[in-house]
Amino acid sequence: MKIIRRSIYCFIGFVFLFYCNRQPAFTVAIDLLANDQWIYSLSYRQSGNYRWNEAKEQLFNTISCELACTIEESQENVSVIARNSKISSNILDKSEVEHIHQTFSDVAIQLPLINGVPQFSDTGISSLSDLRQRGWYRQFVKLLPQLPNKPIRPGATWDRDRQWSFQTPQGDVTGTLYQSFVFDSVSRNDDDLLATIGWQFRHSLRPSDSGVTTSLQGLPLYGTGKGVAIINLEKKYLVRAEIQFSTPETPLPGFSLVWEEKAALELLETIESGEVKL
Amino acid sequence: MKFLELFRTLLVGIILLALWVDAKDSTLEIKKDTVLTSSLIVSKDQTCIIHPGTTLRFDGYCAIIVSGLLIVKGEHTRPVRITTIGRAHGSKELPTWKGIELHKGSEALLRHCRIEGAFRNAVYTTKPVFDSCEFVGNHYALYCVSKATPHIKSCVFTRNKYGIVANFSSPLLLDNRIMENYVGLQMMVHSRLIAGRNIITGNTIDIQSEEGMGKNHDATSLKEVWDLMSQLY
Repeated sequence: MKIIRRSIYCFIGFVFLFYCNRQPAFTVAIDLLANDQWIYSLSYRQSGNYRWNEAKEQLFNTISCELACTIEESQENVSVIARNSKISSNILDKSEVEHIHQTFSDVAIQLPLINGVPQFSDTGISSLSDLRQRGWYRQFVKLLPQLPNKPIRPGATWDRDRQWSFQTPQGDVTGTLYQSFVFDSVSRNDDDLLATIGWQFRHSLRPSDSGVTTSLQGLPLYGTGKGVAIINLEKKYLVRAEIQFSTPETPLPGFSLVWEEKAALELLETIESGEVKL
Repeated sequence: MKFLELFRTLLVGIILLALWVDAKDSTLEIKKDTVLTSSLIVSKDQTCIIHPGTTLRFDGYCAIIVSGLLIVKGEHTRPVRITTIGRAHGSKELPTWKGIELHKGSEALLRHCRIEGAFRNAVYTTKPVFDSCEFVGNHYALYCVSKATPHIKSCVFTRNKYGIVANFSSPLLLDNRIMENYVGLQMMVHSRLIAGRNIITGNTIDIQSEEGMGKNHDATSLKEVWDLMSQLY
């Protein structure tokens, strides 16, 4: 009898301690409606490390710009426009760099908002007629974490996967992106309570027909990467996000390619009713 | 009174029907010199006709994007010209507009048309006809992709970076002159050329053929791989 009673008391004590020490749950969310405009800096680098028999070469493109995200009057959409872009490359010639620069200025993506959260729907990408716009849409999907709809504690995990079809010169390809997220930690920086979200992802490609399969033979059709995002928990905005992505080395004899991408997004300023805040 | 009401109803019905037909099959006709400050978009159910002697100039880095029907009715003595404001005739400067994009499902007939200063005139999975046209000072004068089979007849390609590029497509070429370009004709992997008499001469590289990775040590193959990887990821 004594032993049983003691066991019960220990068990109650253990449960009590567990609930006392458990971290509180947080609502990790983004609400773009808090301001009229958000200005982010975006930097993106793509590089190919080639080895052709004995010769090695790294070819790269880098693009940096500002993204002006403006909330429309109806508050139903956010319009994202790139400006002040800078491009450098050791693979593209002057005409191509100028072409990217000019078309980059025209990139304007409109995203629907639900409760201030931008939505990246699968139909959204197919509605973009410009192939370059679609490329940027895909980068945003990789770069921005999907946040859960309920309060979560540090250590919580969740995942998502999505597919999209797009056209290449050789035909249609279906891409699949799988992301696995974890709520890493909460920290305080001056007055701000910040959440760190980490994720790992896999981006794989499937050609839609045999012609495409043959053309893509030997190229890496999947890659893996990781990302991290910092979110201001109280003011509900994305402070910073970055990803790294790379493909495995291609299996062709005499030729190898490793494709890498890095992207980073950071808040520069917010604008509300003509007032600039940093 | 009943007759009047019936007449009124019929009249409204006819007007509505006319509006519906008009909206369904809208045609844009360009009959005089025009400056465009934004891209010209020809949607799926639309037709755009550019009449002889017309010069279309873009003010800005714009494009002609065609998903419907494009007819350029130039004549030998009154060709149509598509270029940009301030661009000198025959200039080899950097491209100053995006170019013509003929998308899947579109139809196009371009006759006696001079296209200058575009970055890329692209044909995606369709069968347009280019007859007696001139392509001058473009980056990619004609870029055929994704099973496109354009008919290119009696055209001149000169002072372009790339004259005709076939990427997974099969252009039909007859009686064309491809001269003074950097690359006259570039055949990518899985492209097939159906050619009659053509003059391809005086280019830095007359004909360049991509054999596929691992076999061609030319830097341009790297470029092709680069372009593909950029589009995939």
